[in-house]
Amino acid sequence: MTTVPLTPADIEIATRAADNFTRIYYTAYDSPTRVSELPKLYRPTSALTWNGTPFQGADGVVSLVQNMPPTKHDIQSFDCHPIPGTQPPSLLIVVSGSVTHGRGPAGNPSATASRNKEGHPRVFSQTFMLVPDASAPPPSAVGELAKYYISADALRFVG
Amino acid sequence: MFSSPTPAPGSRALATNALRGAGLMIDRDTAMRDVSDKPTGRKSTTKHRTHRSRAIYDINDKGTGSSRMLSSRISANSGPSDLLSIRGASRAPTGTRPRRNAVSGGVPLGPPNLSHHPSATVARISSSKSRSVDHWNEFVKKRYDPQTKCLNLDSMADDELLRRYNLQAPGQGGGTAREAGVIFKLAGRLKPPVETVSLANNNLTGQHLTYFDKYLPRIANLSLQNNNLRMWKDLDPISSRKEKLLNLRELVLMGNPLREQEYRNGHSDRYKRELARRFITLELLDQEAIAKISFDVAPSDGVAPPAGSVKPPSATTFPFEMGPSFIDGVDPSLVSTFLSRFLPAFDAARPSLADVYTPSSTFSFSANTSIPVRARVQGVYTSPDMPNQRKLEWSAWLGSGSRNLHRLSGDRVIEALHVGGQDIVQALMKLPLTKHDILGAPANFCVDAFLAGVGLLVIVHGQFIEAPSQGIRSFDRTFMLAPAPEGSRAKMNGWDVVILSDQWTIRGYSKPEAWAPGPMLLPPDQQALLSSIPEQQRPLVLQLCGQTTLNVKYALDCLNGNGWDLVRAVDNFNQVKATLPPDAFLR
Repeated sequence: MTTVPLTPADIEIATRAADNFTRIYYTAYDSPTRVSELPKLYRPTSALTWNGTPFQGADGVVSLVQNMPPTKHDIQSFDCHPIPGTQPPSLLIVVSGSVTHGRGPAGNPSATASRNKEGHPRVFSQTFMLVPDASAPPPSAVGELAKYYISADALRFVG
Repeated sequence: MFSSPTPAPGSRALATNALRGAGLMIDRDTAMRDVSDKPTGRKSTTKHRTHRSRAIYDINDKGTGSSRMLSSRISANSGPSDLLSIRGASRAPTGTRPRRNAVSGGVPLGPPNLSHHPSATVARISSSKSRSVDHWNEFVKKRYDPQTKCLNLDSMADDELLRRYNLQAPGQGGGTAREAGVIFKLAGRLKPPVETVSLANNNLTGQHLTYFDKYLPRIANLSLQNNNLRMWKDLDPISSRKEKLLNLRELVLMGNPLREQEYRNGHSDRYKRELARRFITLELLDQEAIAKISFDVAPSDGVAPPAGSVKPPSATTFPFEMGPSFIDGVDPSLVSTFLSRFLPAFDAARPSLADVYTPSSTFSFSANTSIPVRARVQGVYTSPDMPNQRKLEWSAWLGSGSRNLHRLSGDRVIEALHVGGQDIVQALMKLPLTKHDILGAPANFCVDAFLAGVGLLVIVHGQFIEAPSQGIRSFDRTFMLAPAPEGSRAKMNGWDVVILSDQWTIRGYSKPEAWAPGPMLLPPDQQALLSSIPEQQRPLVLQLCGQTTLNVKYALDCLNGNGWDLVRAVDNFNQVKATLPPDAFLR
């Protein structure tokens, strides 16, 4: 464990990466091309859990999402901490938001009671650990520090 | 007029209609309007070329609430409040709007306006509707270099062509978002597609960029050098924060008040930081590289795949059911020991927690103030059983440093991240008092924990009672833990682990049934079937669905045939499952 203090530059880069990542991840998840896009963000060693069920690697992601209903995520809050230990640092990102599956309440039978929660958006909580990919080719784009991937991902429906 | 291939037959009509639709063109008798709209009768004796196109473009602005717009613009100009004095200074670059009245009022008054238009006013107006688009098109094509895919729209007001056609450049006089929109729309049709746009030296404000992303969403390089962008919100129309320009690599804002003011006040770092967050794909800002972390998917990927190119997701139920707490790679007692000490201490003895954080540990909390839809639908927020829910206030959280990055910007992004035990405890002491009832119903909490990178990831979902209202909040808390080093303050105080990172999301209350293990029935038909059977039978049906993936109808049949004995039903299922039709199953 290191005690290298975080610099404002570390925080700035981490914050921007979180902006970028949350947009990329949920856009890919909600897209018709989900099955081809999402696995690119993982590596074979990535560990993930979906509502308590574990999966591993990009293949695990495919098996998880290929039969998932269509989604529409709405990010309501997120936060990100740089985790000292690697240079550039790993990033721990926590997201809170709501997700609508399928057609939402519009898909409910017309006789559905107004107090029935089915079909309505769920609250989700998702934690990501992002780490630099040491095996990635050297950065090509101007200013690119490193390429990151998801090393851990834990999701729960929480409301 | 067209040196390049004639546009598709419909395109001109399209453009014309679009102009009319945007209020850029009018079908009314312009001369009449000119007379009736003459605001003060005041007439500038020295007409500028920029005024002449008024009759074509700007008259109808007055019909759409000109007084409101004028007043807002005048105040925005921070110039003299006297309309006349502004109009007198009609060449001043900031006095854009008020000139409009001076001009339109002057149009019918004298031949000087029409010196380039010997034909009668009425004839000129009627033919100009379609011709103006052609003129703009000619201009845009002249400014485009297909080799470099660069569209140079610098200093438009000085362009000979625009002078000749009496076209009003955006940013000059009354040139508005809509004129700019016409240019951007025509630019969006150029072949090969435009990659680089320079709009330098045009006195543009934020409103001129309104339609930029609509017509040029994929450009990579944009210069807005030497314009009149003043506020952060002026950038909203092109910001990736608003889903705009998701391929932008380079942006130049030098020579805009927004940037120059920040630099003058010594806030260049803040300027760069804010800019970088508003343009997440940017690599170069004002000719300097921006440090950036990238991913194997780009922000623009998946936004709009070609229609029919992929089969979109169509499942109507979840492929896996809700599982119980998941703890892997670590003795579960380590997690429970930690939580059963940490949470009560958090409730009752926050200062003592300084020991469990290291000098480089990080803590922040985020308030997600959105009302959970399902809880609202269930009436949780109006239930007489939970009267304290209505007494909860977000202000105590928002006022003490919530770090919701979805909303937060500026220096608070750094201030709201607390580093080291002392700083963290200070922050904790400012937060509302809490009571986590960890000895109550176990179902009220859910824990996922597994090894990740440098430590153990522990994620707790649950609820607490907030003082002083005694209302209930839901929360998610993510810890990154590591073994407490021998001799460390944590170890000496009896902690087996230290907290490297602690991120706490506080949100409106949702019932813990959200993570109750079992199948999550999504298909409305299944839900309807389930609610049609007696309530006391539903849990068994759900359990059988969960264990067998039978749908509700077959699960019901199976239970009916086995005397509502779950074990017998499962056995029976295992005997006959190979013979069941595919539609007997949930997926």
